[in-house]
Amino acid sequence: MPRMPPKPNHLMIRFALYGCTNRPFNHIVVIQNRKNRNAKPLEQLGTYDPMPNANQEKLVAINFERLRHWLACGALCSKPVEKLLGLAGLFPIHPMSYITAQRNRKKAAEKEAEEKAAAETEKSESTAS
Amino acid sequence: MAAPAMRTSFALRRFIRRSHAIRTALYCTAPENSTQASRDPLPVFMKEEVQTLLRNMTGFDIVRVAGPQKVPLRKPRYKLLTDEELEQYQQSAENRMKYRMQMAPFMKAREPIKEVLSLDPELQGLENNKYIFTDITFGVKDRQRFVVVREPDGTLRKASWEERDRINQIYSPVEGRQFRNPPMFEEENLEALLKNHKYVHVLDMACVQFEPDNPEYIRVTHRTFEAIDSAHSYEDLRSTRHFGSMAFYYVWYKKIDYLLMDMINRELVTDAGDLVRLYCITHPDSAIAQQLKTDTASDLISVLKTFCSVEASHKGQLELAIQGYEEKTRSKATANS
Repeated sequence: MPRMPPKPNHLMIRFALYGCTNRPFNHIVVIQNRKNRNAKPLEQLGTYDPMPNANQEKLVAINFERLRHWLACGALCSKPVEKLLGLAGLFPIHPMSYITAQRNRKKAAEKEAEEKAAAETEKSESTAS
Repeated sequence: MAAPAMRTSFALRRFIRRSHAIRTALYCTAPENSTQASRDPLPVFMKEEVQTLLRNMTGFDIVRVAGPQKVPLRKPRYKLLTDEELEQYQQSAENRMKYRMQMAPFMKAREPIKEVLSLDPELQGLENNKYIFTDITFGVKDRQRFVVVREPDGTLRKASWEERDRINQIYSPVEGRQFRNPPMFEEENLEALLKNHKYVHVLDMACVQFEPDNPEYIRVTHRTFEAIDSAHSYEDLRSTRHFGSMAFYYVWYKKIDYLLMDMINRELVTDAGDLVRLYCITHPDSAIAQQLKTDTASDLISVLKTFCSVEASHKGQLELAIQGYEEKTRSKATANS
């Protein structure tokens, strides 16, 4: 039998998607890498609700004490978790957060410029006619 | 409806440093320099002596404290007990009632939280909504919990008191507390309730709904105490947990005249004396405190008369009340002899 390289099987801190149709809800869990997304985890560290509530807030709850314990045990974080913890202030802000923000700003600026140009052409047409 | 659930998470343990100094001076303590408006009432309220005086004034009618209980229909249960066992049961009942008589702390309004942890203007455009991060570590008290907010413009700041109240109610709900403040605490509805003399109901609901340093709690309770003062219905609050806070409110804002009159008319002269003593402890710079430092007479009636002459704002009525009480005692003495 050929010797295969060892498959990655480490602890991950990642989201497990629960909720229902058109209503996502994530549990932040510590789980073996190769397990199913919603398999029974080693521990649930918190929740992340991606839908804003009546006060336009997205609620995130994290058990920081246990999070630090699992990080010390060598657990790795998935990218969305890293971004979220960057926003929380525990990790440094993820570079993709900065890049996404910049891209969004650029898109918004372009859209505004387009709208402004369209408004100007309309105005000039109406004054001309 | 059973009495609202008792909250154990008061500010007691966090805020006080119990002084074990035995006070030899009966009436006076070291003077404080700040003005009345900025003075913090909590350290004064939490003094052992003040607490004892307030508890004595509140009284302990066990039937009233227990309150009417809705109990499901069932057959009566009988127990055969010795005298000692009966006493034990009575003692445990008393202890349970004493626990229910815990006074809500009398605090000044909390300062708004303005701490900013980090500014990241480069995150502008990432999100249109705020993120609220809560630390759900086991064993952390609600007041010490870390709640931070990441605004859409990238600022990471500590959550305001209103946000904290909401978050604590989501993740560690208090039984009986509603998520949104009930409309009964709005001005019009509150006035309507107070007109119908529902003082205990309002105070109980306020105690469950708000933290003691919430400006809303202070507004509601102060308004209720004012209404009670106008209506002179102090008896409604006797043997409840609110009497102590009410008495301390009047003492703090120097409005104890009508309460004194009520006590004297009901022949609770020891309570009246306690109230004057509380006044001296709270306002050691006042005229009455200075007077009583020099006077050695500890006769209750003379103390009340001194108060009436020196400090009272409704002198006439108070004098009348004291005279009425003296006549009553005299007539009783002549009747007995």
